[in-house]
Amino acid sequence: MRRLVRNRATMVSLILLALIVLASFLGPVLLGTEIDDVYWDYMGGPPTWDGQHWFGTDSNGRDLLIRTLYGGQISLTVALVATFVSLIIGVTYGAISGYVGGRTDNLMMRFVDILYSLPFMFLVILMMVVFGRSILLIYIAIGAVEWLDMARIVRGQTLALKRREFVAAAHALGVSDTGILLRHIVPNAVGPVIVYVTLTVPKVILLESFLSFLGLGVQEPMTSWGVLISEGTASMESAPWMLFFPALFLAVTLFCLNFIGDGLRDALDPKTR
Amino acid sequence: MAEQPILEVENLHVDFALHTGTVSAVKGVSFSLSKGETLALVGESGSGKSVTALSILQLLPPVARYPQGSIRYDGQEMLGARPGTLQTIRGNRVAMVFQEPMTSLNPLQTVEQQVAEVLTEHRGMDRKEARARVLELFRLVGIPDAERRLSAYPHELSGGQRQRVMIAMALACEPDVLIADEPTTALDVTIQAQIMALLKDLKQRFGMAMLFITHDLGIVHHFADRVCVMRLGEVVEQGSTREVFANPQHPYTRELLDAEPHGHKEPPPEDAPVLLEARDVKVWFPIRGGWFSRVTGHVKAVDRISLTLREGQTLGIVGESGSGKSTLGKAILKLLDSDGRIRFEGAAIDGLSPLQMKPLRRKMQVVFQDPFGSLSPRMTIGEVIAEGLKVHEPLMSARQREAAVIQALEEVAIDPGLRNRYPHEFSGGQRQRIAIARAMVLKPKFLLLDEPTSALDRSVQVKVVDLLKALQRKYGLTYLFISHDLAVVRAMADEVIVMQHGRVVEHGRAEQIFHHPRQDYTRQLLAASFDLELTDGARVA
Repeated sequence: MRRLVRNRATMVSLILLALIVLASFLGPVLLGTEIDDVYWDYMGGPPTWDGQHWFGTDSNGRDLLIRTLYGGQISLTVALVATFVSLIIGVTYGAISGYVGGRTDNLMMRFVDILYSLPFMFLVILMMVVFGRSILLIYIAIGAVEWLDMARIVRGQTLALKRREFVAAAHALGVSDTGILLRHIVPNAVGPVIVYVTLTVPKVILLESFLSFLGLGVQEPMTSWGVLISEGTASMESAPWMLFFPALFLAVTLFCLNFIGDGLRDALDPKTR
Repeated sequence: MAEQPILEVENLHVDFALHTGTVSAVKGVSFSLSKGETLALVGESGSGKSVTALSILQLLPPVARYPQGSIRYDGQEMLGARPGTLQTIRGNRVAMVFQEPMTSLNPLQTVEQQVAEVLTEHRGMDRKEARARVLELFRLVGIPDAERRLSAYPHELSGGQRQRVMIAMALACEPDVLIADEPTTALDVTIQAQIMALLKDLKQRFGMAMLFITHDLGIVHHFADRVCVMRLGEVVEQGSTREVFANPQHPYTRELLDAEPHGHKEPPPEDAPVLLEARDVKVWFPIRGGWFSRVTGHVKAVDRISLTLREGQTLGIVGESGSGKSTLGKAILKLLDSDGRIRFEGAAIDGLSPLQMKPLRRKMQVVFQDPFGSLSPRMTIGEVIAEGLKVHEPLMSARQREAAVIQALEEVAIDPGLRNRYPHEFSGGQRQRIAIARAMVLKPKFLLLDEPTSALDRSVQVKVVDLLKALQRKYGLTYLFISHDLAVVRAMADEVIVMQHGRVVEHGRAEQIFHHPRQDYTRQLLAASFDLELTDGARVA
């Protein structure tokens, strides 16, 4: 922990990310406006400095600041939940598959291949039809797809690690298979896992915006960064602020996550002390 | 040999600028090499001998700095020479042979392509000329069936053959200087002897100068005209081989010369109880092929081996790589599935499930070869040693466990104050001690030692061997000692099994095997490992 604090880029990123999270969840309460308040007299207006519309308004006359903050709520939770789900399932599944090996490994990995070959959109639409449309479903759908990559990465690491002598030594000590997995294999696979997690977060946020763009994700008036960005891209030439602010929030968040990921990886690796 | 030197190194300093600061790897090394002369750079790991060799051809990564000194090849300064100039010298006038013949060849190219590359690059030969020359070179370095081997890929050749290809590549342009960086370290003893003979022969035939980097004094004595002993980046002693070996001046040289495992072990009394017994142990790996991956044959890694270990005994198992000796060790500890009967303390253990094995695990421990791989890099050494206690004595309090860890570390002469550090902060020898402490903390009766000293420098080896012998005396331990290094086995074991291709070639008391070997293969092994040292008489055995 102390080593994490010493890394300046990581600490700055942590603080920035905390600010974005706080703003997204507390900001709407403090601002006292609503996400669907329409300003009939200021439609598609640029940012003003008088405190009315810091970020301007969109083409429907809704305040962009409040929409960006609400969008942050959706995007950040999707990122967190889906990544967490993929991390837990992926690491467990991959580590077991790689460690047990042989026929079990073969079966488990073929199962992953089958899931890979299911078209993602088809899966989502199917779930929508069966369960109806809800934001929770998006979390599940994205999480269910993202763990596949993680499982493969962890399995590969495990295959390499289980042949190392310290695993044989633990075996000779009488350590149980669970103990070997938890104490010797997973901690040593943590480097690539963290790097992959920092890559998963932006992927998840963009995936959600893609779903929303197709009308399968969040519903108006609720919004997300992905939705705001795709709207902003459409009117990039006439109203650049509509793209700029949500994109800025997304970019800063992703930068922060990357630095935090690097910092974590270094802090957890005893060799970089 | 009083010609003008072809290679001169004068007051060479090499620094590495790392982000944590500057590390001086070489501090003022000077030597010179005349035509037709062999100079050996001797030292243990970290002495800067390889760095010196690599800097001659300017092959070090860009973080290396040369604050002082000069390297002259044929009067031409190499430090700071233009890349183009270096290019014409590398591989052409000065050639290099590296230690690891597997990794220094490109796995995706045939050996012919790789050797021919040197010829097309430096001699501008076309493919046909190059092919003829490569064939000639392969015959010269003694690659059997050279014509067919031309289109072979590196993995299709044995270690010794790969090293011969490397030598062919180095000789392609008939260089003036051959730099050999531990060319035989990765090879088996019998192959090692062949390669050394080849190098010696080629050197005489072409009148090359040779710079020979090694940690093996046996080779130096047999092979070099002059010696430079290096330590911590400095040359501590330099002189003709005869003089240095007969009359070493510097205490470090004397230490190196004495660093031969010595003594021998007295066998335990005849009536000592049998601790471990193995009958007809077999480990066969199936070879699958054809449709539906049917089993088409077996690799017989261990083929019907029987052995008996009495309490307090040390049984040495020797053999070259691929002889199945490590597999046998793992099979006996049931780290690998095997056929055959194994009895420990009179009870059969071959049919036990992992759960039934667990209480026995603490009595039979293992120390592996690689001190870098056998400790989990993300655990402190205290955690590493305590892990076995957590498994076998779950009721022990944290404080008792700590005390046991401290005691185990003291036993292997590691400062217990360092127990919160991570393995990478220790040297190879220290790590091997930690691995021994991990085994000893459980107070085992039987230790499998799988090449425990092979990755260590000679002087460290001696200390580890002494430690193992002291522990054996103190606790009456029984060892199964696996090694390819006959000198170490001679010092450790009272009984020896010689293995080849998964079978026992010879089995007997240590003295009998070492002094009156019955089988040809045993004699060959002994000749390859000891004759280098003994022919010139001066070596102490």
